[in-house]
Amino acid sequence: MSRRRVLKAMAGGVGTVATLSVVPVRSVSAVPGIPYWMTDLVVARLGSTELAEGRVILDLPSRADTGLSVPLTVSVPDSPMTDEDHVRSLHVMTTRNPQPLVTDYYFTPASGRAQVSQRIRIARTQYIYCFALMSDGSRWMTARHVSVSLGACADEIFLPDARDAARDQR
Amino acid sequence: MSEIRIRKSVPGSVRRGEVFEIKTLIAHPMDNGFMYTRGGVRIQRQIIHRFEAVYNGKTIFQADWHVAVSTNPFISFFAVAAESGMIEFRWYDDNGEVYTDSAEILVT
Amino acid sequence: MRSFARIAVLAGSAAFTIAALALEPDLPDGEFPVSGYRFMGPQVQQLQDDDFLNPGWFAVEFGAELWQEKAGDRNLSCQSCHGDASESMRGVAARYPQYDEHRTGLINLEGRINEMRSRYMNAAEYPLESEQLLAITAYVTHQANGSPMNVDITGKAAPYWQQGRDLYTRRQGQLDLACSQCHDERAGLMLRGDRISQGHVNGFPVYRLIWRSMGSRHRMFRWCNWAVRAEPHELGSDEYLSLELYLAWRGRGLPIESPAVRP
Ligand code: HEC
Ligand code: HEC
Repeated sequence: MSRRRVLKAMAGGVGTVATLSVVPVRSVSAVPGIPYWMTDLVVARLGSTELAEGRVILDLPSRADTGLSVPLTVSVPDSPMTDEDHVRSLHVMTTRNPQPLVTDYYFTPASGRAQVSQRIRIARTQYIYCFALMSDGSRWMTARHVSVSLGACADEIFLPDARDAARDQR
Repeated sequence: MSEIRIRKSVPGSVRRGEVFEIKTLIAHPMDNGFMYTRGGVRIQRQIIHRFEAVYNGKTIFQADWHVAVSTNPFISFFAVAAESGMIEFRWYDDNGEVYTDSAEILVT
Repeated sequence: MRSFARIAVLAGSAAFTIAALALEPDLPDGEFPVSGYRFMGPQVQQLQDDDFLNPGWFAVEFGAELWQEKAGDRNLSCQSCHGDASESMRGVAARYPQYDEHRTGLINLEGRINEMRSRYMNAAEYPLESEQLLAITAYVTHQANGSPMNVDITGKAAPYWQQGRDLYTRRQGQLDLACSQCHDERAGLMLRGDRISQGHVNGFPVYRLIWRSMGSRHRMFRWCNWAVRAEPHELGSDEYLSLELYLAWRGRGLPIESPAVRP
């Protein structure tokens, strides 16, 4: 646990690394601190923003073919998922989508494995976060950078093709 | 399609204690409320905001979905084989409707 | 090159840019015809390849239901006359559009299916681009999965083929671009977030992610017309039927891919 890194969200702009390292970290972490406005969302789900980095795996392409359907898998592979020791919940959030929340997953020991896959919409190049709450009350996080090639006019993926809407043609 | 289309994948039989994968897909536009029709009218948000898996009456997994979940939401998750019986899936639409489907599971 | 400059001028306002990215190594280069599938990224290809994920199957399944649904005065279904579609409709879609003596003009698969409803079943035709028409067309097209496109452009079809070719190579719209300038000269390059393919019709009706639904070949033509700020023609118009014939011929030999998914 010496590599365990405790992150605390501090007021700061998106992209600034708002971290408080309790234990000195050897290498610079690839995981950016969470933006200040995300703290309420995190506190509402995990009870606090005292987060350790690790355990959660966020599997996502680093470059999305289209922001409309990006394969996402989140998991905590080292959790035994027993009554005594399991993952309670996983929460996926984004920094630059029109709304930050993506999904909240709630597990039970009967889930057997803390792993979920879905397809999600990513509006533009940004960081995706995943937070985990364990049955022992510990909180973990990770983040991944995703670039979306539909970038030149990213808002458009959240619009239908404005020049073409069959439902209006009929 | 007026009628909601659902696809599901659950193994027919599993050994007791085994962890198995469940997959579902439901046809739904997941209107995120940011889109406009060609006439400039905003399409109201209407998404499925919750998904539940209930195994022999007990909720074993739940997901809250937000507007970033893609059209035709797909999900894959896991469960432990306990007793033979039924796994029920529930999708909660913003419009108040709840779509349900179920799969039989044989535990050997 | 002229049109490139033009696009650059319009770029800021119209959000319409062609980024001259280098061809990626795995993209087909110098090969023709190549399905739009091979121009898509692996994450979208997976949506087509994985039967569980492919949303086009919802349309094919709905089409299978419509195939058996009795309608009209005579209480007939497609199945009443054609039986098992996997036998009777095998390879059929690969031969459309074609010249039709009855209409003295071109008819595409949607048109043929609607003709069945009006002429043989005494039932209302499905509106163009309706969920039903797309579904039954996708179902019939699926029975031709893997069949090479092979349309007849001889005889009375010849002038339509000529008209289609003219439409395909004619510059149009505010951007003054012909279909061929994107789909022949710039295939593989990026246009906004889209990678331009060779513009083949072998997957249609396709499920397009940006449409969040199935769409016909003609809907695609309208989309491309709008892309260059040209006035689109009507769905089912003679112009689009000719263009469709030309494109089916241009991609001759390409296997039908159904249900296809496109970004
Ligand atoms: C400004 C460039 C541009 C022009 C001009 C253009 N298109 Fe396209 N076309 C696209 C893009 C971008 C797509 C979507 C990506 C792809 O599949 O190529 C597309 C897709 C298509 C497709 C679907 C290909 C598939 O595999 O699903 C067809 C068919 C097509 N175009 C036909 C036409 C026709 C016919 C014209 C002329 C009326 C035309 N295009 C003009 C850019 C263009
Ligand atoms: C009353 C019988 C009857 C019914 C009902 C009927 N068809 Fe047909 N269909 C025919 C006959 C006869 C032909 C061949 C002659 C022609 O094309 O008119 C044909 C031809 C076709 C073709 C063209 C085949 C080719 O090789 O080009 C297609 C496609 C087709 N039918 C689809 C359908 C569909 C889809 C339905 C249901 C909506 C349907 N048919 C209902 C009798 C029927």
